Amino acid sequence: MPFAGFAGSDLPKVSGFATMRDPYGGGDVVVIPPIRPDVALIHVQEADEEGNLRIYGSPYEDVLLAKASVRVVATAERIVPRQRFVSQPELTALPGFLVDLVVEAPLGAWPTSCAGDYGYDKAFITSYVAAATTQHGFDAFLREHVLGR
Amino acid sequence: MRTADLMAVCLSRCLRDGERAFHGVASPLPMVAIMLAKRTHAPNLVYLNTGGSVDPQPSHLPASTSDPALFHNTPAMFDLLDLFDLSARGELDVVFHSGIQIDQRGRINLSALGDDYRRPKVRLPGGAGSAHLMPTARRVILWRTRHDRQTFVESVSFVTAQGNVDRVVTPLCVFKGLNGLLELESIHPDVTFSQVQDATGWRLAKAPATPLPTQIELAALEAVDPDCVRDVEFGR
Repeated sequence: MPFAGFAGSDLPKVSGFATMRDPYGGGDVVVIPPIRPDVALIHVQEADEEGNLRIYGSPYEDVLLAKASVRVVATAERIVPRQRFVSQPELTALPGFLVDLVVEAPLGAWPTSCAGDYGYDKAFITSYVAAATTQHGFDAFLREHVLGR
Repeated sequence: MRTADLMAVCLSRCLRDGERAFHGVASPLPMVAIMLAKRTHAPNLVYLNTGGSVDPQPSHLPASTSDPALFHNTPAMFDLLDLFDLSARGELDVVFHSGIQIDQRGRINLSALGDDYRRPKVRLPGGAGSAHLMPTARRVILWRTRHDRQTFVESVSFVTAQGNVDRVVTPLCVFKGLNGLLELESIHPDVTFSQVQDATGWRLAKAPATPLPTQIELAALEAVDPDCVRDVEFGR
């Protein structure tokens, strides 16, 4: 697809992006190949059993990311009844037919924030930053908090 | 004069009433500057940010500038997809950016240090939206809390983005973009010309002193940022 930016940037060159003449007279334009991820992993506040998703606060690029991906796996703070979506369908960020799997995962965004539910865990993130300054510290952190052994 | 206060005031003076201004992640000083401008000379400034709120009125300023706190009292949502389209249409007035390297032509490097992009000396975080926003926004304000010859170089080793640089605010001075080149506009109080020249990788011409913040500006700064979030970028 055509992209309005990139003028004067080295990024199209190293990324292999082509430049085309705009057939409608707008000059040269960088065109970008589609990005088609195999899987999108997104976290939302509410989902139902059909995979309808509701996002509170900023959606960032999660909806675009999900629509671009072949498969979508959503983790949700809460599984709620379908009726909650039916009562206000305009608040549904993504319809269930585009979602492959829903996993109930309270605190699933931790240690980052989840709007309306919790803020980011600054102390924990700070402890990671400190640990990650050495390979030994990083490995120990990974063992304790991610691999669980 | 506290450097963070002076930089926040200088950045706020770059903004004009009625403009649409945007900042991204990791941008405490631009966030404070926008809130300051809205409280002083630019009450009708439209404040846009990465999270996608419009003119929020946060109960406190967060240290993370994509914090849900920036959604407090916002009447609308305008997410990044909308923001990029707005800029592509030529309707975004001001965008704040920074660079690990910034050069004489106002080009920024957020991608890689070293001669070979594929095998860099240091791989940098990446340009985020800068390669789109710098050439398409009407004006670009750069800021950096570090001013030395590693940062302000004659020529960046990789051009992540360039275009439309209006001002660059540093702890030592303000540069103005003129005919595609950064020229020294003013030197901060208690800083000498030779200090700025020694910390900058290209030849500068002398410039007057940066006007001191007014009592009104300093009082407004204290009111919008009583917790000194503006100090975060200085490691405090």
